[in-house]
Amino acid sequence: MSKNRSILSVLKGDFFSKKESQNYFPFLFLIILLLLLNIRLSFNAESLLKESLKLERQITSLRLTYVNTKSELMKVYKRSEIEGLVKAQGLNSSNNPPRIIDFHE
Amino acid sequence: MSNKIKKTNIRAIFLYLVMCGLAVVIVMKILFIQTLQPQISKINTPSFVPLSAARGNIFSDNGSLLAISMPLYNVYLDLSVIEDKIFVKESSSLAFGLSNLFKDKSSNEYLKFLKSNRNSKYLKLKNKVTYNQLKELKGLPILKLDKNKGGLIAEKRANRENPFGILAKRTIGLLRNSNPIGLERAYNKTLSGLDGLQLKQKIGKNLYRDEDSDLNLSPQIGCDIVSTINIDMQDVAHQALSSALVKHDADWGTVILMEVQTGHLKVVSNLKKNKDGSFDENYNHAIAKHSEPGSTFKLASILAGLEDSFFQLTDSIDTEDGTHKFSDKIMRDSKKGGYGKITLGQAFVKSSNVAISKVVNKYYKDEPQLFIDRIYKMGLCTPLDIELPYPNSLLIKKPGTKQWNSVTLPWMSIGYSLRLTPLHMLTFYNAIANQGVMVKPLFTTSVTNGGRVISKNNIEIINPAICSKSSIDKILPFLIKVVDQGTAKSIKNTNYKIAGKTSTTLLDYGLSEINTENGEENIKKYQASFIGFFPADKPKYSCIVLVNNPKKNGFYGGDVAAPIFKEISDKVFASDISLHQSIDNEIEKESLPFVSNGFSNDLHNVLEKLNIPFNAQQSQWSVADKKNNQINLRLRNINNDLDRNKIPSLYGMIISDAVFLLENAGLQVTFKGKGKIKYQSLEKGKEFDLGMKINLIAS
Repeated sequence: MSKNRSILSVLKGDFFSKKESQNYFPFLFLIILLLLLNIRLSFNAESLLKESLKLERQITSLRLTYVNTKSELMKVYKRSEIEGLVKAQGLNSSNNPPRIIDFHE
Repeated sequence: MSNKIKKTNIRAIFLYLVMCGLAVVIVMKILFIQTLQPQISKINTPSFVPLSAARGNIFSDNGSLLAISMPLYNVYLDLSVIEDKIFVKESSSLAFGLSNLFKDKSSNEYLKFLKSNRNSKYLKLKNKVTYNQLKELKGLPILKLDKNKGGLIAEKRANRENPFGILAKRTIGLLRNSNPIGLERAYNKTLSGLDGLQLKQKIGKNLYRDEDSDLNLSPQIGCDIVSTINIDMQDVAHQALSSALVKHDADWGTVILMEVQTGHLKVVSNLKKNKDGSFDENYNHAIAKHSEPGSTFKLASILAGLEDSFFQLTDSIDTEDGTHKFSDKIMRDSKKGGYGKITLGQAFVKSSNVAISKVVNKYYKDEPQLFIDRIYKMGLCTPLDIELPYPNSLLIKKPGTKQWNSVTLPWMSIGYSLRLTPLHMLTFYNAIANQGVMVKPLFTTSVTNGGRVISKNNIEIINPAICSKSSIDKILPFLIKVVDQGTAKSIKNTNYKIAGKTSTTLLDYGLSEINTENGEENIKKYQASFIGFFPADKPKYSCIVLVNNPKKNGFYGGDVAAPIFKEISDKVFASDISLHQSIDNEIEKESLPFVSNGFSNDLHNVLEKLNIPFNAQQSQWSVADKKNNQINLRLRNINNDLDRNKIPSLYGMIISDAVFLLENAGLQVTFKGKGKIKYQSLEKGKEFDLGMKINLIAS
């Protein structure tokens, strides 16, 4: 009977009304506050992580764009490509050796 | 009151039991999932994920990218997810965009393609789409909608990109499961880096969080390789070789360009003509093709004799009628009737088979091992220890073995009965250009990581002296003569000197002989080559050009290979600034004014006033010229001659001075023109009498 009563009192929340329990209330509030803070920080960390992953993806995307563009540019940088482009204008590579003029101030 | 308590008790017990029951169910479910359904339980369990290390790049000597890791995408469409309304409205725009992007089909063809596959769930659109193309794809109508509405499926595939296409493709190499090749294979470990491990926790759809673990291992990015290849020179060689292969309808060709002092390989071009007329690099002939070098080997034969002091280049040899019989085989010169009696040097320049084989056979016949030892000392009997792996089938026959017979030595002396690679022959010629120092051919200069040099590939000397410098000094003028007046005179030019040797090798020589003996019709195949270095006075580059089986427009080395060499050397000479000196000195020299011959005192006065350095001999009249950056005034014996009644030389003298002197001496002078005298009617030294007439013409 006493067992039933004690369970019942827990279910009813009688222990909250006891004076000794009321002394622990600030401590309980602190724990609740810390738990809420923990939850908030966890969500915050997760959103930061998501942001970080998003930025990493952007970096990967930019790196791929850079590599791809550089690769395309390398193709048109070839001497034969340039010669082909300017051939119509009557230009071609010179076989005459250059003349070097040193400029002394 | 007690009733109330009783009711409350029943409710509490009920609630308690329900809660307990729920707890038991939850625990049971957890146990069930954990033990019997690992596929579900492990979804969110942190697990180690391998992190592959990014592969390093391969750069050319000036930092151009030769090989880089760049993913490609296979693109598919799930057209079934697209709403009818959207498809009807925007499919034309999509087709137009696809046509513009890929430029392989018209927009109508694309529209037809899309409409005919309207319900397809996995329709292949295109393979090998680049990242930039994929980004453009994602911006096209319909496809810009998310995956579940636009239906775009892009499957990533690893790809190693060579931005310069087939330029030096075989040297850069390819990493594949079977038979990897080139630098990609040789430096695979360096380029690969080290894969890592990371503990990851799934936190959402396609989202993972890194977890701390002592077993986590960061991937180490692969190092970069800086190769010796110069992509501009490679392009020039590629163009020259491909044009020549077309012109001469040849099977394949190879070009190697090496820096003389360092052994850096600037060009390694291997081209084989495909049936459709296109070219591809599908075999590294430069390092792996072992063949008979032909006449280019004559340089080694001559050097051997010079080193052993058996003969000199001035020795006379009778080339007879252009043929000579060694045992049962006849040696022939390419020129019918032979060259008669010529010096050994001339024989080298004209590439006489008879002369070279006769002289080598004469001195080495009894001791052929001596000849082989010399060839060995020149580094031609040892396989090259290069960075790239290659099959070694080098062949140098040895005296006393079954392979050796009475005609092996004369044929070997002209480059038959042995097999060497083009790179091996070039390394030998490079040593001649490098004053006898044989350096190892190098494909790479350094290994770097993030721009920081990790290790350097230093110059490696294989042999500090393959022969004496005096022998090189003796043969060098004849290598230049080969180009100036010999078998490669077609490539002589005025800007710089080329030294080298041509070769026209008959392929399958033994087979050819057998067929000829049997009276069968024999289609001869040749291999034309030219090995040389430039500028000959201070060699910076050595180069070999080899063209296999040319069938049109000539087959001689001088007609087929040498022009390719010249096309490359001309462009390299014109573009390599280090080959040219500043013209400052020339300007200084030219800054000295022209000083005409004349009265010494006047010349002294003018030169002193203008602060022009000069050196003068004591005389009344002077002849002026420039030497060592100053004006030299040399003695002119005009007065002495006139005093002895002899006509002096008046050429180059100002006419007014001459008239004054001659008339004072009693001569009657008639003249035409003004300025310097370019003609005098009475020659120097002729005696004259008073009143004699002399006619002068000035410019």
